[in-house]
Amino acid sequence: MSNINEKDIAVTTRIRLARNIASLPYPRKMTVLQAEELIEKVWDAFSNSPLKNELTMHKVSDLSDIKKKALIEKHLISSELCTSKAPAAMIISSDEKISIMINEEDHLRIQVFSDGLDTESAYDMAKKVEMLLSEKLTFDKDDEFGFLTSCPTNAGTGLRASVMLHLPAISAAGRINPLLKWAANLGMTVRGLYGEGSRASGALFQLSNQITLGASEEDILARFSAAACSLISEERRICAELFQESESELKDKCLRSLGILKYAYTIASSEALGLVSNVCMGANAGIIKNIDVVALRRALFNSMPATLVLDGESLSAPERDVRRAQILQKTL
Amino acid sequence: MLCEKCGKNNATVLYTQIINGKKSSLNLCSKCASGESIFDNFGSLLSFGTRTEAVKTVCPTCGMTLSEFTHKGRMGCGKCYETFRAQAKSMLQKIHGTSVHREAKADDTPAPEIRKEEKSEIDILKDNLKNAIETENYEEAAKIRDEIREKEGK
Ligand SMILES: [Zn+2]
Ligand SMILES: [Zn+2]
Repeated sequence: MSNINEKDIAVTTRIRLARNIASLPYPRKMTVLQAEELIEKVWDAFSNSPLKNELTMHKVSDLSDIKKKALIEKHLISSELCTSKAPAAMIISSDEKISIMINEEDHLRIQVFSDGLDTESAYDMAKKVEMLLSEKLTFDKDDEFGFLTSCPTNAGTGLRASVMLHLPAISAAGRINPLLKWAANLGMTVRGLYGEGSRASGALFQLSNQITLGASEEDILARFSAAACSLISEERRICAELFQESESELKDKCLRSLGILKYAYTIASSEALGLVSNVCMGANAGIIKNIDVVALRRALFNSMPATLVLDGESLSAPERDVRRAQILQKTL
Repeated sequence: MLCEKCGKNNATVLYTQIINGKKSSLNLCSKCASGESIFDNFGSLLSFGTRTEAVKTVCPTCGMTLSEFTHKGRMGCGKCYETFRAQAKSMLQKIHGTSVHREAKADDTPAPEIRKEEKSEIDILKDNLKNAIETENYEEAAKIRDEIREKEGK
């Protein structure tokens, strides 16, 4: 079992840097010409970098609707990028670990992803990209306020760290509301990724720092990682507690889900979220053996509706549910 | 809006004068606002308790107005931060607890802690206590209660 970077509970980490170009209006106030010139400039900045071979640039206007949906579904771009008034674009790496949004709310949103809880490698890469771009572009920075952003909630460092966490025990124990309060008091936020609050299906949550100004990037990251770690150990503690309290009930829930996942002919995406959540919890608790939690989760994300349609031919909804069942079963 | 003095140019400055506690405001173009005091004809006679201030209401670079900014909470460009500096500052303080960006990593002096830290811990304990009672987990509840007492006793 691979517990490096807490991969049993932490799914992916994202580091995002918001940057704007000095003396250029923000995307909402940009002219079409200014927006298009910026896209070219940003893409040009990579031309002499070895990174370029791994990157491709897509103008939003060139992306098909289903491609946009799939990218949003995978959290690689935001829906705001697709509805941006100014011409917008994205630069993405072949392994989908780097995704740069151009002309979303800010001129640049540098995003880097890593597996599990790993702010370090994602941050290092994000800084590398920032450095590369800063050779060709001047970022707008105020002596007092730091980096300036379209929304003051991002000013200062422009740094937002997030981690997707699987918290089945905390949700089952009905502790989501205290969790939200705890996060708010630390200057963090927690939100359900598929549905809000206690109705979040799949028990997948995102922890992010809310405060971006007043502390250095390193300090923000240290604080964020500490919060994520204590949340993960809280999940482990409550999970152990739950299994002690109602062992047979929980064992039955996990194994029953495994049975459905293994033998069902069709599985809807909302059902898949719940089943995978239960099986992963069982695997983490040692009840279900020989399951690769990371691979199972990857299969889950690859079988979400838009991603499925993009990868396959145009599948109808019932056909998608059949395909989803097959994809998930391959990992068991 | 047109300048309320010349009636020709667009108003970009809100000119406010307070005389003996009575406030009067005019929307002016930059030309009129930079000229001699337009309140001279009556202002000079009543100089006691007089305070005059001019507030820029339109960003010269992107055309964002003060009311649009306060309404949406979004800037139109980097210059907006300069134009509406006082408002931006108080907004940043509200959101982040400070408006002063920090570049260097905190070494021995810890970074300013987030407010309400101590109180929050007790809040969480209280939530847990409620939870434990609701789920009839009295052993746990007693433990949490003692912890709260100890923390509050300090
Ligand atoms: Zn005038
Ligand atoms: Zn502006």
